[in-house]
Amino acid sequence: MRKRTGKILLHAVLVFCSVISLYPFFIMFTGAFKTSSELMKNASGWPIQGTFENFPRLLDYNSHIISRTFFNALGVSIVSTVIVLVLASLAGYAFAKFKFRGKRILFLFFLSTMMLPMEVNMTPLFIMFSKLHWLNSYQVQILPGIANVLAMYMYKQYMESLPDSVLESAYLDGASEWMVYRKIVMPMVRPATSALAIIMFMGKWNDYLMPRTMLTKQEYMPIMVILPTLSDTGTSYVIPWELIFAGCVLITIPLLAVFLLFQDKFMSSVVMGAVKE
Amino acid sequence: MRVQKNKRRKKRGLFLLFLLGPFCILHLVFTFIPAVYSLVLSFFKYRGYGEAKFVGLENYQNLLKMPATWRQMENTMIYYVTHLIPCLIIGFILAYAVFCMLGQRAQRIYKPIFYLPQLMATVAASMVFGVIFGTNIGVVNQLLGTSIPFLTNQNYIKIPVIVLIIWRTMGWYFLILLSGMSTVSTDLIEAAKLDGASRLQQIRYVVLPVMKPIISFLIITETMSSIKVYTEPALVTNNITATSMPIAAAPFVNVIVSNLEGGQFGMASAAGWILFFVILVFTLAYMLLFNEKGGE
Repeated sequence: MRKRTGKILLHAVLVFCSVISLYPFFIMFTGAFKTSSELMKNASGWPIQGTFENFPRLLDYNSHIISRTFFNALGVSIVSTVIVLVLASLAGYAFAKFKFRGKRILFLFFLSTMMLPMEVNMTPLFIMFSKLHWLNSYQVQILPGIANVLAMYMYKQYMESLPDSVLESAYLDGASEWMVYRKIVMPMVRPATSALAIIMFMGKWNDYLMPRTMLTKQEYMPIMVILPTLSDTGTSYVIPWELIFAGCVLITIPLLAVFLLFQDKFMSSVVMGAVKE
Repeated sequence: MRVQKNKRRKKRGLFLLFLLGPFCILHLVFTFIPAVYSLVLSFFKYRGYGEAKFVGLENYQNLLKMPATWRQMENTMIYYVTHLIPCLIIGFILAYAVFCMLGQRAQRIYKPIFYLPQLMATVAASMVFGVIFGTNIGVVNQLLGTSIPFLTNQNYIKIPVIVLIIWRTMGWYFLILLSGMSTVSTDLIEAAKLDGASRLQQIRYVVLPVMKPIISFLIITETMSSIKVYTEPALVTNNITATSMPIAAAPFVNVIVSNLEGGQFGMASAAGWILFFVILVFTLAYMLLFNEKGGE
């Protein structure tokens, strides 16, 4: 009996927590379908006079800058995730399955740079890129941090656990080094690849400070940098909150889509990414 | 045979170069050299044009002399402590209760729901919380029928930021702690129960020791990332330029950003290294703390 009451109590607490964790989503999604006058009076509840106007208005805003920057962000995030994974898997493979002089020292060197926050490098990168006249470009969003030590480390851990005998027999069958990497090693570490892809994509998608600092031209910006400027009271007289809500929905959808696509795998991936070390 | 082996070794050497080369070069150019450059720059006065002037430790001294630096560091620390402690404690209690009382099926329902806040884009979450805590159109004020100026009053301005950070990270703590608990063998807990250990004793002597690596990992990674907090305070309070950020809410990273925007590159670099130093001290302290307890 006591156990039952405890269980009901626990469910009550958990449901309460669930409501708290979902309520801002409710505000965001419903807010995207309210008119600006309704938002003033009713930001917390269900929309009474719903409208679908906000999304078309947002996409047309300031001659389609929102749509353009959305695809900027998507493109930059995907390209940099792919490059990070390719570079990290190559280097991780070298550290996992090759013997060479200075291996330990080189590896420790990479690990030691993991502690360096991006904020330390922000100033020199800004100067470097401005000297190259790259400040308004896509490479400035992709290149910093492209050699990702965490990803390399996780690949190394994974690849070390692959049995040497499998690789050896492939060599005996006449497979080239590249074939072994491409056709044997990479398929075997697919769980690591998908976990890292999710982690890297989310990180890049959410990045705000770096692009905000490095970019001044709107056409290169990711949507993350453009959207908050809508609420800048310095440039607009009335803040278009209904458009901002629609924009918030827009930038959250890719993350939710990845999540729904992979579901259980997603959860174990992010946890693995955290716990694997 | 030997010729063939030599040939293969040579090929393997070339392939190794192909594997490591790109990573090493890009790491050097976009991570390591900027870091060295940043360290050098922190001892110079440099505005991006003209000659850089060596000033020794002056940048650091100036930063440490400014009350604003300390104020912003204090804000960062407040954001850090006020989310770490409740998230750890509540996250642990919730995870433990779920672990002991609920089966896999119920866990499968709650886990994604609690994880969901992490999936709202950081920028989106910050702006949504800006509306939730708005003075006139704010959700909290509408629900309470009040008009508390959360975002404009110096005394309240940290509250929305703290609530946002807790909202975003609580589920993450819960998830990590719960998956850490599943590594605790139920046999061990059963044995402790048979020995008459109370619930608190079970936690203290069975659950916590097994989970120590995960808890220490969680604390260290969270420390590293939350000392760098910037987006949340900047966007909850609707301040997209570093200079307009109210000092009562500005985190330490804002010192770097405002100096960088002001063209004070030496100062910005020095502030970056102060940030690094703080992270380093915290990380080393935690490592020491957790290792020592392991020696018991």
